[in-house]
Amino acid sequence: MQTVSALSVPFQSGVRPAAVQTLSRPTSAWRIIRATVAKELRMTTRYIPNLVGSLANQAVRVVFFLLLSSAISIQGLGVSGAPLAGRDLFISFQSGLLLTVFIGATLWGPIYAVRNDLYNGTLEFLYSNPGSRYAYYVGSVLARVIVESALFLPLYIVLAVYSQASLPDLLMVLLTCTVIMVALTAMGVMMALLALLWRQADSIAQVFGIMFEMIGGAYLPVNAFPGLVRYLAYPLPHTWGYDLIRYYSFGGNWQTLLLVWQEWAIIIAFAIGFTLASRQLLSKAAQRAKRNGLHVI
Amino acid sequence: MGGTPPTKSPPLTPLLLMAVLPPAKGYFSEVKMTQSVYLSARHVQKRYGKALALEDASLELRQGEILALLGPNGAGKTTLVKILATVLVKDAGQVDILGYDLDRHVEEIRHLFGYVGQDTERSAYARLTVTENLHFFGALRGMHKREIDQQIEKLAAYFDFYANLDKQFTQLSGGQKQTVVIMRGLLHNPPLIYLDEPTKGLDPLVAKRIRAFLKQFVQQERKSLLLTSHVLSEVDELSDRVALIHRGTISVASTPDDLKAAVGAAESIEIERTALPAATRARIEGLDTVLFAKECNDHWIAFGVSDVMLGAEAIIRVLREDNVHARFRHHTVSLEDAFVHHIGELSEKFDH
Repeated sequence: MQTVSALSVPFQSGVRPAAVQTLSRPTSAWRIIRATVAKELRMTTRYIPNLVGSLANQAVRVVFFLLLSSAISIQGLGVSGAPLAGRDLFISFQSGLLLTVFIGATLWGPIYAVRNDLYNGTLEFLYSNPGSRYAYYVGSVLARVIVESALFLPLYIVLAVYSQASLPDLLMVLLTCTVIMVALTAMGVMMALLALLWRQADSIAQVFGIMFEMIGGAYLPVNAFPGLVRYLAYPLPHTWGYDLIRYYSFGGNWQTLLLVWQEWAIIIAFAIGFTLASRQLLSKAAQRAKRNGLHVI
Repeated sequence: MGGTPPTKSPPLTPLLLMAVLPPAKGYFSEVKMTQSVYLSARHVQKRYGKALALEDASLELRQGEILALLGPNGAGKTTLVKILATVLVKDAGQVDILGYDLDRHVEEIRHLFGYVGQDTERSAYARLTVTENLHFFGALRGMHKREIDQQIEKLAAYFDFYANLDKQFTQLSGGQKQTVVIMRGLLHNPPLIYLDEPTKGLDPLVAKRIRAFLKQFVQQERKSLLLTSHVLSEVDELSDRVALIHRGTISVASTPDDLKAAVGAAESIEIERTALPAATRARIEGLDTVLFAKECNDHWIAFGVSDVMLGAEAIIRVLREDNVHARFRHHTVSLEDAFVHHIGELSEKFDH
């Protein structure tokens, strides 16, 4: 008797035999992104109440901030040290709200994708597929960004009308949102990795997400916070994004935390650094999940 | 393939088992050079923390073959399939799939298999239609739209599934969902297919249709299929060979008929136990045509016979001579009998 081993197999190492045919072949990240976006958008159209709920949610926030800005003022943060109040305070709130919409899409897109794939039971299948996982998560984010644009546009129009900012300033607001989106997409992928490894990380990440939003200046400018909180805010990409959006919304009449070019350098560095880090971490986390059989099994 | 022989000797336990079990026709036997081994797993090990899920799993899957992985709950079947499907990472051992080393060529290997895991009730996007689901999964594999359409057409014809293609996944019955998941596994026309309990929870008619399809599909398309199942009649009907896995070790790989033959007799005559005096039982056991006696349960004793006609005739003669009025019945050894027999022997060996 002879133990059968690979030695008896007439295959050449690392080369698929010509006789073996399959329709599966390497594909570009772009194609996976397109397929994922199409899939997510289709699914969104079949959960219309969710979309309506999100729109209503944003409308309620706008009204709330409108009322709040007529009721309170923040000392020393307005133009030339004047109180930030009334229309200016509303513009400040609205600027924060604008970025928050896309932060929701980018930061939570990947984690929602993991959660949905766990719910749908498709995660295991996706992880036995040859396609790029990173592209899949980016596709999920893009789909959410497209959907959230339906919320963003009305907010953007409200901001444009109230702030009476110039067209270049309004375009700079859009550019800031885009760069922050790239940075936060990568951050979102990293948070999704935690969800992949530990189910409970999903809820914990949400708590951190809200904290980041608040200390990053979504609702109140970072300058309004005490020193320690300000230092906690500096390592977050949100902080610089909110600050730049306010700067452009006020047509340059806003005291930024650093020089404007320095803030741009910081958010671009965040975008590049986070993207590189998350790509590395994605494969490492998937390997770990597969070794431990935690979530994917 | 890598071409390197296994670096680790098989552990002692399987060697001992080889000595007591009948020669297996699969893993331990000779395979003709002309017969392609599509998948070769050797001494695969896997732990979850301190729990040992796979101790020494070795198997081979050949072209055009259906190999069933059979074992009790927790034996390591699903763990092994998930390792082969690249969903889990093994701790040790060597796996070669169609010339690729699982450790080094995982991306290439992912193009070569179709995987149907458990829990198919929730394993596609609920609000997408069957066609939309298949298009998405096909796109992830780099398939062109036209190819996906052609494959859907072909698979829908196989499964008579046209009427359901435009239904959302959530609107399908359990059997239909299972069919979709199998269609997804076959969509890219893979040479290797892994099915983890494909008919679990399905009604007998649907299960039968899926079995018929799988058998026909593997034969016609020369695919290789690795199957796990608890339904022994299904394994008997479908598989060319059966690998028995117990406590994370694959110890026997053989054809269903050889496994049954290893029980000692292909057929037996069972006699009502309470009506059979000890002296008569001893006389029957002494007959030339009777190979063994085994107490099946509280009510029946089985006498394995080499020839059912001669055996039955001889046993009836003894019963008449001793004036014993007992009910008796004929029993053909099933794969279930073989499974219980082998797993019982394996458990004893492990416990020792």
